[in-house]
Amino acid sequence: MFAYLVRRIAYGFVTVLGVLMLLFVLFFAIADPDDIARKAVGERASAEVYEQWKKNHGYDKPLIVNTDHGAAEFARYTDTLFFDHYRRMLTFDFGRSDADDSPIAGRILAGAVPSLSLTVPLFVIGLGVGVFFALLVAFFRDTYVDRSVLVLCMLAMSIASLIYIIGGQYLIGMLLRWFPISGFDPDPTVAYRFLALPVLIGVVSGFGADVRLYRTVFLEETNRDYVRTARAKGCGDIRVMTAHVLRNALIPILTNVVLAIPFLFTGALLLESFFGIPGLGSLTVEAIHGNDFSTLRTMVYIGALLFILGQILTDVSYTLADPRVRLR
Amino acid sequence: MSKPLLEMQNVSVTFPSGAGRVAVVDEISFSLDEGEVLALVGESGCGKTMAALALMRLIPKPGRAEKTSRITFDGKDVMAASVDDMRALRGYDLSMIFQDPMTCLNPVVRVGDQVVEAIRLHESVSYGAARKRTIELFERVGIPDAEQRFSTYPHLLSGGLKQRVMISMAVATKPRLLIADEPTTALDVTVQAQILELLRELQRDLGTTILLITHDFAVVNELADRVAVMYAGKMVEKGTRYELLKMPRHPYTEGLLGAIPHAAQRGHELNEIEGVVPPPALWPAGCRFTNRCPKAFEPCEGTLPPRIETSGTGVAWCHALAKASGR
Amino acid sequence: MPWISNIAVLVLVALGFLGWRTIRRNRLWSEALRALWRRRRISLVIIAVYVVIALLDSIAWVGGTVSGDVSDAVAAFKPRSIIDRIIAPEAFKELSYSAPFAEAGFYDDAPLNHPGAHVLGTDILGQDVLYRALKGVRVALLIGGLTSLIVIPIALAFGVAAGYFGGRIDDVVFFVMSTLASVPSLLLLIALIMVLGIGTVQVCVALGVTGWVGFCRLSRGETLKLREADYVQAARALGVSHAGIILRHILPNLAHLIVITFALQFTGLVLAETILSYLGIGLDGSWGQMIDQARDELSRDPIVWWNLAAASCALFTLVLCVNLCADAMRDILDPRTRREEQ
Repeated sequence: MFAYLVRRIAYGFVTVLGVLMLLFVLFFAIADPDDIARKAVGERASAEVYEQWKKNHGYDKPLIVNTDHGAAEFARYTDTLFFDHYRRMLTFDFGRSDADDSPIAGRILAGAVPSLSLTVPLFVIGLGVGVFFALLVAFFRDTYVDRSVLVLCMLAMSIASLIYIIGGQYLIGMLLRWFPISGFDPDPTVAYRFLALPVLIGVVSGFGADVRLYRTVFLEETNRDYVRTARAKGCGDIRVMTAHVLRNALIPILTNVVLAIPFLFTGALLLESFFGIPGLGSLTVEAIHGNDFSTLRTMVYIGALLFILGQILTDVSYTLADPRVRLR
Repeated sequence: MSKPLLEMQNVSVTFPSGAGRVAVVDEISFSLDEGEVLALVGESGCGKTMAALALMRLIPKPGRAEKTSRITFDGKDVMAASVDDMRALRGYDLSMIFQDPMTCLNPVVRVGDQVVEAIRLHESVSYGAARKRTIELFERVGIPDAEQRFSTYPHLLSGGLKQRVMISMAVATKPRLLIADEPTTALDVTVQAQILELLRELQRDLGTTILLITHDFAVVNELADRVAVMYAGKMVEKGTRYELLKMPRHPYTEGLLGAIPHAAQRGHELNEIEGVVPPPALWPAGCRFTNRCPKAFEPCEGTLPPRIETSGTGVAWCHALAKASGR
Repeated sequence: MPWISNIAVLVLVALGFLGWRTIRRNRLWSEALRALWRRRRISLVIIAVYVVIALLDSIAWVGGTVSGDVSDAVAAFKPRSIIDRIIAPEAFKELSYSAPFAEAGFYDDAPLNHPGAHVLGTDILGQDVLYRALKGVRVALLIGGLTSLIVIPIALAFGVAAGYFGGRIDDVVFFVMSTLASVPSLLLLIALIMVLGIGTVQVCVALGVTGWVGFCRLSRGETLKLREADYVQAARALGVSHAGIILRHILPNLAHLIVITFALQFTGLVLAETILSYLGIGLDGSWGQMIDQARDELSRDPIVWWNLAAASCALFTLVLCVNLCADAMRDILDPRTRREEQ
């Protein structure tokens, strides 16, 4: 188990290095630091201000090879944007925003709590609702219940998330006035009122695709031979579903759940920005509007880190959930 | 004469197809006395498993047993039993062993717990007591290191051990009737012999009635008291083991027996049956064996074959036999 | 660059014709197509209508008279598509909002230039909403269809090569794949567009880079399985070349996956574009942009709903039809469910 974990984490680290390479290519090689600086300080700024800005934001070094140092010197390769990028990202030294000079790390820490208070309930409730309905549908397979839920799912899948948000905010927030339209309060006794609507909309917009997928998984499992054995033993329908099918089906569902984590992030991007929740999603949207490359770069990096971490966790929980998976 | 333990009368199982429903089991009848072993024999796809599943009321959708079927088990009308009654019956008085032990055990549940579940579904005993009984059962069916094996997962066991787990699960509640659906087909030859031996011992010790489903006459020879031969959903011949194996009357039974390679008879040509079982949609209206029967003649194709009493208790359904017996 | 669009139409029509002929000659595929037609007739017809609209909107040329009294010197030198020429948006406009089929302006009750003629009303600038919705068709098909059409062969090449040859090639492809897959796709999309700049080509490239991964992974995994299949082993034992095996045994067995993934990718990309539009980095003239512009109209009093409704319905219908066809295709081509069909 330990050896497996070490190997898995090592591969995760290699992937992180790959992601950093991708970010370097995108944000330093394709997007020219000179352009970024020019945009940030304005066209009419003096050369002095321009150079100072570049220095402050760590854009003042050459890309890969620094010819200021001699050919033999090690600093020739370490005193560069490439090396700095890796060093700073790996030590979580994110520097300052290109847009307003505020420290990025502080803003991310401040945004994490509101973000998590939205995405965690969304994630848990969404999974619960999805699995519950899928079980229900699988239970009533080949009846009109099954067919009508399937049609419903198909319709739900075809609606853009933007429309769910606009429609939900209008219908529930403005017409019915059940919840405030937007805003956030860190006090948990008040926060739930602000979070209810985005969570509800998030769950509904993911409903169609989830239920359809989980239903397929459940149906595949109900056709397996061990289900017949369970019935022959005298298990009732409900026991077959909960004690036998669910346990097996959770294994593929687990994989899907982790694959859904980045979607959670992206879903939250829209939800946060629409409902005025000051989380990481809002931060990203602000960065896009403000041409804030350093913040955006950091957000992509954090998103990838979370995803890689999630993948490692899934693989580990996989080995716990499925006795057939042997650690190599 | 006492009532038989199980009576199947005119049992039909149908599946929907392009034009209406096709009967994959067509009005078959047989009965089983207490303590008896009946072998239901036929090629794969002839409907013998479906007949057994009809008895368990476990026919997979969209198939169903027709209303005309009458199944009486221990005086109870199985076709009319409620869902709850049926559930109480299954796994308690009526148990089943399946063909492929590889896929029939739940892969993520420890094997011991699967047997415990079978016990605790029907008897209100504590987990500890059920566990103790399971370990005893494991020892009884010849699983070495029963204590440790209790908490292993199926994929770590060999095919033979898995089938032993299946058997212990099926006999855990001392059922009145045990249905063994091809219990040895998926196993290695040496393991097959061990499993057959185990079944015979259990049958002798517990006095269990067994409905044995197989296509293997060696298995029939080992275990069966009586034999019923099916072809394409129809019963073609019934009789005691001796009658069937030594004096087969129906051309299909003759063909099946002729196709067995005997180690002793090298050089003899096997008399294989020509062709294969046609799919249900292409079954002839009359005798379904017509296309492959060496003795087929004009009435075979269109009309159902008559019932002919052969020697002793034997019965066969055949036009050719009817003609030979002078009708 | 109108000529690119015109050439693309030619190429697409030619490809469509070739594809049609290939399908007609292949029994399996022509039967699958017939089954699809039986089960999803309405969806297929609707998709065909969308495609025709997009093609009509792609054939453009400069010249002809700009009708009406708008004397815009630039407009006369702009290429105008067939749709533009039919509706003539330069003249077919009002001053501001008007409801569907309205005789007068929505807020000011001023008489309209074309009373009762705007089937879906007009937007804040007085543009006909139906015209804008029609213009969105081409953008949607460009995002979903053309991008996938270009990306799929590339992804397929990498995926099949990695799966079939294994070794170094596989290591490299797998590493690139897992790196790209580790970045949440929307963030990657945003980063790409921010870096490349906003524009049709850039957005399509960005969508292609993110969409490539899933497809490559799928074809790699499937090829790994197929490579071990008995008939591939047999072909290899008989001395068939690698190219022969890939062309005759592997690609045909990937075909059904390609078709289904294409459809799913299509809907995914079209839906993703609406998010990009909300973030302000979407494509000009897309439905996402219409929805984004219309989202504040719900808080007007009385509310303006037709802009949002038109764009949402156009988007919803297209995505639903493609989803329905993909679903039916999966049933038809899946050997496990094929039996239940009869």
